[in-house]
Amino acid sequence: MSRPVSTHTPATTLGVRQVRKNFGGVVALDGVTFDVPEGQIKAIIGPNGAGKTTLFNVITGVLRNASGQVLLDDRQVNGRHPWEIAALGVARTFQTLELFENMTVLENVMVGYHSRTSKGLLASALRLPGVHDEEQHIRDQAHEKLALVGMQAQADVGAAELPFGQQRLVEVARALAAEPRLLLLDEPAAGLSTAESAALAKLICRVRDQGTTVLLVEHDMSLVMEISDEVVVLDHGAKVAEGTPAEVQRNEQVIAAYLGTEE
Amino acid sequence: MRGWRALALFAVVIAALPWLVRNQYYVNVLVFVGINSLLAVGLTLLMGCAGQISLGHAAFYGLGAYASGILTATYKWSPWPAMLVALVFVCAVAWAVGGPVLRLRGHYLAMATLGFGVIVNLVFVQALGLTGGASGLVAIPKLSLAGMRLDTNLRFYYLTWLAVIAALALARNIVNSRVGRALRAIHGSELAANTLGVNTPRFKLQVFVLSAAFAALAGSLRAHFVNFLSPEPFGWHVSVALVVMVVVGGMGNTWGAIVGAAAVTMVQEALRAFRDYDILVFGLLLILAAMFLPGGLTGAVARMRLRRRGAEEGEAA
Repeated sequence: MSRPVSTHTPATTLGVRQVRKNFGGVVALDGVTFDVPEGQIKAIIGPNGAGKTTLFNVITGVLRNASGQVLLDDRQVNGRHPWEIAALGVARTFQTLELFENMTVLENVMVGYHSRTSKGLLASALRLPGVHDEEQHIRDQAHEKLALVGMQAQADVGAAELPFGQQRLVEVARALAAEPRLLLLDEPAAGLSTAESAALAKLICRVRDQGTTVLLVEHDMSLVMEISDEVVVLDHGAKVAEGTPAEVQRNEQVIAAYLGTEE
Repeated sequence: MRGWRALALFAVVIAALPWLVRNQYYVNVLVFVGINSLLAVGLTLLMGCAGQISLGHAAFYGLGAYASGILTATYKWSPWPAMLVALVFVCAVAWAVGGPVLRLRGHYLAMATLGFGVIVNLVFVQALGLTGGASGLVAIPKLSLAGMRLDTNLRFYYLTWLAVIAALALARNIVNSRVGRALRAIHGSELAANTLGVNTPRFKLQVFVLSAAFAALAGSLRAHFVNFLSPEPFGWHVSVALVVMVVVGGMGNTWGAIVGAAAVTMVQEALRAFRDYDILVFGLLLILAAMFLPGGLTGAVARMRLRRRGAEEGEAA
C-alpha cells in the first residue's frame, strides 16, 4: 500500500483507502482505493449510480463510511464533522445545487469565507473593533472570486433568480472562497453552454496551477479528458480502472461499463 | 449606513409618539407593543434568519418574568441584579433545552418546543410555593432608574422602547455579519452550510439562546410593569401569537418584528371582549399571511415600492 518515499513523488493530498459504504443492503462504495497527489486534477467517472456522489459525501463528512479510511495529508478525517473537514481545507460543490436561495450571489460567496474568519456572535452583535475590517476584507475577496467565474455583474442579484448554469458558477466561486487545499467539484459543467464549459475548464486548470488539488466528478468526457491528470473509473461502487485519460479510454472494462457488453 | 439612519429616525418617532397620542391607555398599549417587539425581534432571528421554529417561546418569556418577580417580591432582591440573574437563568435553560431539541427539524422541532412551553406553563400553575399558582404572584416592585421611579406609563414606555431599539441594533448587527450569514446559510441549505465550515449545531444553539435572552428581558420588564404575574400570559397561545407576529410582520426582516408586534398587540386589544377566541383570529391571520403576504407586511410594502418605481421608470421611458 505504501509508496516508497522519494523526493520526486508529490505529497498525497487525498488518500481514499478501502472505503465501503452501504445503504441497507445496497453497496454504494465497495472498497474504493485511490490517491490524489498534491497539485493534480483527478477525475472520477462512471455511469449513474456508480457511487461518485456518495464518495464525495464520505470525503466531506456528510456521510459516514462503513469501513476504510479517508486521509487528508495523511491524517485520517473520516468520522469527523463536515465543518471540521471544511476547516482542514476541503471545499465542494453539489451536483444537485445547494445554493443559499435566501441570499444574494455575493452573500453566498461570502459564506465561503466562514472557516477562514472567526468573528463570533458577541463580537458581531456589538460591532467590536475588527469586525468592520474583517467584513470589508471578506466582501472584497468575494467580489474577486465572483470575477474569477465571470459573475461580478450579478453580485447583488438573489441567488434563486439566476439561471441554472450561472448558479453552478456561483457554487464554484463559493467553494473557491474557502481557498481550499482540496476542491471537490460534482458535475460542475452540467447545464453549462459549450463556451461556459470551456471557460470552466480554464478556471479549473488555473485553480490547480495556484496550488489547489482538484477532484472532479463529470459526465462531459471531452472536459474530463482535456484537463485531468488522472482518471478513476467507478462502476457499481467499485473502482474498475485508474490511469491517465489516454489509458482509461483504451481500457475494455471502462468501455463495457459505459456501453455495456454483448453477453 | 442607511440602516442606522432608519434606526435613528425610528428612535425619534418613538420618542415623539406618546406626545402625539396623549392618552394613558394608548401609552399603556404601546408599552405592551414594545415588550412584544422585544420578543418578536428575538424570534425573528431564530425563525426568519436561521429558519428554526419555536412554538414555546412564551416559556422563556414567562421564566424571565417569574425569575425577576420571585427574586424581587419574595426574596426582596433589588430589581436590576434580579433582572440580570433572570437573564442568565433563562439563557442556561435555553442552552440545556436547545441542545437536544434543535437536532429536530420542521414539524418535530415545532412539536418539541410546543411541549416544552406547555410543561413550563404547568410548572407556573403548579409550583404554588414559588409562583403563587393560578392566583398569581403579587407585590412585584416598580423599577427605579438613576433615582427616578418608573411608576408612570410614560416613563416605563421610554425604558421599554430603549430596550427595543438596543435589541434592534444588536439584531441588525448580527444579521449583517459573519454569524448572520452563517445563520441564513443554515436556513438556505444546512448541507452546504456544514460543508463550508459552519458548525450548524453550535450556531443554532447560539441563536436559540440569544432569542431566549430577548424573551427573558421582555419577561422581566413585564413583571415590573404590571407588578403582578399569573401563568396565563405565558401559555402556548401566546407562543402562537408570537409566531403570528413574526410571520405577519415579515420573517426576513427585523423591522417586520416591530410591525408584526404592533399589529398583533392591537388586534389583541381590540378583541379583549372575545378573549378566548383571539386564537381563532390569529390562526386565520397566519393562514392569510402565508397565502397572500409572503414576506409579511414589510415584504408587501417593499414590493409595492418596487412596483411604483417600476411604473415611474416606465412612464419616464
